[in-house]
Amino acid sequence: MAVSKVASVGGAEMATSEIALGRADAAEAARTVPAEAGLLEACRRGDPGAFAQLVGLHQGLVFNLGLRLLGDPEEARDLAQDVFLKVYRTLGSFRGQSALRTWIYRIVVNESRNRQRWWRRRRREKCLPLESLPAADSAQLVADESGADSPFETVRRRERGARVQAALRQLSFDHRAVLLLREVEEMSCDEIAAALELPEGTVKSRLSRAREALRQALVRGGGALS
Amino acid sequence: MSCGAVRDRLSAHLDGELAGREAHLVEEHLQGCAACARHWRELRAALELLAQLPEEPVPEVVAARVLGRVEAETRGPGLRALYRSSWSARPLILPSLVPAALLLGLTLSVALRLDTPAVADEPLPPVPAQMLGDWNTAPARPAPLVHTAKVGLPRAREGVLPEDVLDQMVEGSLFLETVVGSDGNVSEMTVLGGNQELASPLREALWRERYEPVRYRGRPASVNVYRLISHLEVRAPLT
Repeated sequence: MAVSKVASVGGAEMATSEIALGRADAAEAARTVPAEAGLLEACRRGDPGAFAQLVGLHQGLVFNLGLRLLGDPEEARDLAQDVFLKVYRTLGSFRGQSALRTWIYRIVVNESRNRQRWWRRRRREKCLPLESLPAADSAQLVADESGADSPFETVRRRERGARVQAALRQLSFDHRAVLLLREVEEMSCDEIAAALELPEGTVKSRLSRAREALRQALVRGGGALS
Repeated sequence: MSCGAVRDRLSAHLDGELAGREAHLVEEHLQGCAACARHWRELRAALELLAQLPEEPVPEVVAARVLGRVEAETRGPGLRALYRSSWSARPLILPSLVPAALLLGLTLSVALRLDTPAVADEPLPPVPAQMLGDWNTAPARPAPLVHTAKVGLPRAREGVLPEDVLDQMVEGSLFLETVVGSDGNVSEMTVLGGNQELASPLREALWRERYEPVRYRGRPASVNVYRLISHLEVRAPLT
């Protein structure tokens, strides 16, 4: 595997130390919400450690939401980079009128929508579907085996995940976005309205249609549902 | 309440948003109508499946690249920090790397030159003089187009740096500029800094790389790629 990386002068050392922020640390830090303002302030002052912390805290949600919206791990990886650069460049204009998380969700959805338009035109046909792709999958399977789940349960869970992802792909982008924010990210309808800059009533009616579309897609996809 | 009216309200019912009497009517209908009851069970099962989607681990390269680019954007303090942290460990690399990096400024900037002359009908946007560099005095070439935000970097199609070459990188780094042509081949390569002894085996490997060319305005275009190759870097395919 190549070690070449598009030149990020000096980033490597800092990066490898900062990305060690594990999920447990992230969850811990997420609970201390008042720290968010201080973190943002430190980011605005140009403190690289603070921004690394912000990335560590939010990269899981950014990458996973992107992955579900776009259905392609490589695209999601590039998207996550674009999102954080946008966050970094526009931190000055973020006034805290919404939660940082909501603001980041908005950027993820908007960037995904743009990327999907471009991607559809250019290279969708070249991409492998998610369920056949991730090289990380085999590693994930091994990792899971050491945990509480049996290998059988792990495989079953991944199959279910692939089935849901296939169903999601049949939905329109807007339906997918509203569903993921509600059911996976567990946002309330007014939070989604803020993130998507839509009236709450529109969110609710869209959510209703999206839920029904998902049900139909899963039923079409076969397998017992209820 | 009709089946249609009930089904229209299932989403709101799920969120507990129906008023008492309306909720009661829906519940009553669900108890008496097998088809709607099945619909209701399927809806809840579908959403449960969705909520159980496993969380995928984030590739480490995401944070590394983001922070690398942020570091490059806040050049001053960033490079001073690099200089401090790495000086004692690798005294020989930095004197050559830092000036090269400073010269290039934002190292992720992508300078784009269209290969095809067929764009005469489309006036090219003006290019800042400082970005043109030598191209200013090279009228035989098409004027370079500087573009950063919307042009991606070319994706590697094949060509992986061989392990034995990588092993040599333990002792140093190399900073170089390559041009990936609109045909996906590496067409130019300039070593900008670093350990010159590494240049020869690395260059051979890099010449063999093939890319999926970037496209600009619907046409394949050639693109400058600045690369810092070192053992410090996250092991990941170049994108």
